[in-house]
Amino acid sequence: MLSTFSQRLRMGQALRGLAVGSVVVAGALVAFLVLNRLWPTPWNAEERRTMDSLWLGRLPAVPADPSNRFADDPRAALLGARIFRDARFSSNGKVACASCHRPELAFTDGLKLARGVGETRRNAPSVAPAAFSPWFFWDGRRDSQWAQALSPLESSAEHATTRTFCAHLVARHYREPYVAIFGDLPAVLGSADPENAGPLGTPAAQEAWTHMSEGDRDAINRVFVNIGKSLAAYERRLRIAPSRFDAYAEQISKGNGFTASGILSADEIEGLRLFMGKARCILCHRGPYFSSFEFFSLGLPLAKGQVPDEGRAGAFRQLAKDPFTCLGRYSDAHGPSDCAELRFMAKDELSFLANFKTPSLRNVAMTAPYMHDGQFADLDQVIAHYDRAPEVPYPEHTDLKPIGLSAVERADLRAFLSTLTSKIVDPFAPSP
Amino acid sequence: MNATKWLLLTSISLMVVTAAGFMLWFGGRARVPDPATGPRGLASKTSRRGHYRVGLAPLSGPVEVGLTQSWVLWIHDPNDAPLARCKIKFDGWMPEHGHGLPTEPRVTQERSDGAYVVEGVRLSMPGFWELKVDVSGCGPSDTAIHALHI
Repeated sequence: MLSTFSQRLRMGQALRGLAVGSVVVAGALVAFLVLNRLWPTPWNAEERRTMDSLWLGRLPAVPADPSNRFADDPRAALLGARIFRDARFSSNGKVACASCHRPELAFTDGLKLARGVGETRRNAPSVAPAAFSPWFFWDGRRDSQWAQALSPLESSAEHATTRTFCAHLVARHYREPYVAIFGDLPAVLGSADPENAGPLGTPAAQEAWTHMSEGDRDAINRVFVNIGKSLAAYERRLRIAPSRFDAYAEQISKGNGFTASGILSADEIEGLRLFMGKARCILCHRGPYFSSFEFFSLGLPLAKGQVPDEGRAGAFRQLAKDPFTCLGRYSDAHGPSDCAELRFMAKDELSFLANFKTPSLRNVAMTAPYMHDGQFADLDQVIAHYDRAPEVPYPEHTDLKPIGLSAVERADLRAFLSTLTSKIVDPFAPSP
Repeated sequence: MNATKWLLLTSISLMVVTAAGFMLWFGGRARVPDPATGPRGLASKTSRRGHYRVGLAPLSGPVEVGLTQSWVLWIHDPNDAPLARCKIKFDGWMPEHGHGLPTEPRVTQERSDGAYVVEGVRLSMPGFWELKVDVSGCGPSDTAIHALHI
């Protein structure tokens, strides 16, 4: 017996060592895989299903924008990225899109109310998930990303420029890339033509606009619109990188309980449970961008002297006279069937009074202050408002109901929201 | 001879282990739950005053929250004969939340098989919906309400 054993040792020592080693490693691997599967997770099947719908792995492709045929043109995106950071597109030379949509603050500005040349009446929302929404601005008064991008350029509180001013800037500083993408610039952009003319500018600019021929106005509008389409082509390419929540939900969705454990703290896990359950956040903040992009009334209190904001109810009138919608002459849509959102939009003003668009919660911890008017300085105040759901005189109907969270639960929810912080990947970011 | 035996044993065990690993790994992937899918269609319903039977279903696929979908409606008389040229108003309401649809759906087509295509239906929130169909023009005005949990 002993001699047989020593004979074996002699004959295949090296090979046996290798074999035993392989078996041990393979055994450990199997043990790990089995353990990973069997490791208990604190979730039932329904919670796992809900969680699975929230992580970035479930994100569909950026929806097509049939109203912008340059939406996925990389040359347009590059031009848009340059204009996004160009403060020459403002009446005082100091305001770029990037002034209020600062990359380091998840493309917001950290202010209560957005500030361009003057102060606006609303909080600057993030740009990154916007391409997934059918409506733009807090009140959804624009129906495409390119039309949205035009609005601040003409707003007296933001860039305060005019259509001819922007077109002249393109002719002076971006002629080559513009012509390569969109074709020739119109002859109306000669040096003798009005520097400042537009339907929304100063009285002098409006006057100059009325003196232009209809053909010239149309030609200028087209250059102006192409600026918006370039900006949209750029903004569509901003991607949200996976957050800690995504890393956790991915492992849970794969059934890897052990690998998932430790990614989120106990408080964050409880906050996630509340988010999907008792606190009902998930009803509106759902899908991988944590938003349905629908409009709701949150019964937000008005500060003393604050003028009530009619929100979504005011957007219908603006959309009705907007030349830059999906159904308008500057849209590239092939017909009404490309514009279902606008054609079937509910527009009962009373139902949508003081309704505002549900924002994405991606990077929410970085985007204080909160709500359409920036009235809450931090997430504690936001959560406290949802928890109490106070009755307010305006509007009569609110979509919130009191939840009844304990102080610990409110803190857990806030802890969970901080797990949604991640980088925004900008393929056109200027190199440092 | 012994060496061959060890080699064979090692190969088999490695193969078993690899196979088990793959099964667990891909088995785990296959277990990823699908997005919630709702009912394909709703049972036909008699209108409040008994003038019509109204059936409805999404034109294709299941009901999906947050997606603008087209639906098909069937309007039948109490003897189950399809009715043409009806004027239809389609609406949705969430009684627990006190709000309706984010869209205004409209009938855009009356098909040769007697069905009506309604475009622009989007259920903005999961939960309990009342889907209300007002019928007129092909008989007395009447309303059918379908209940939908999604």
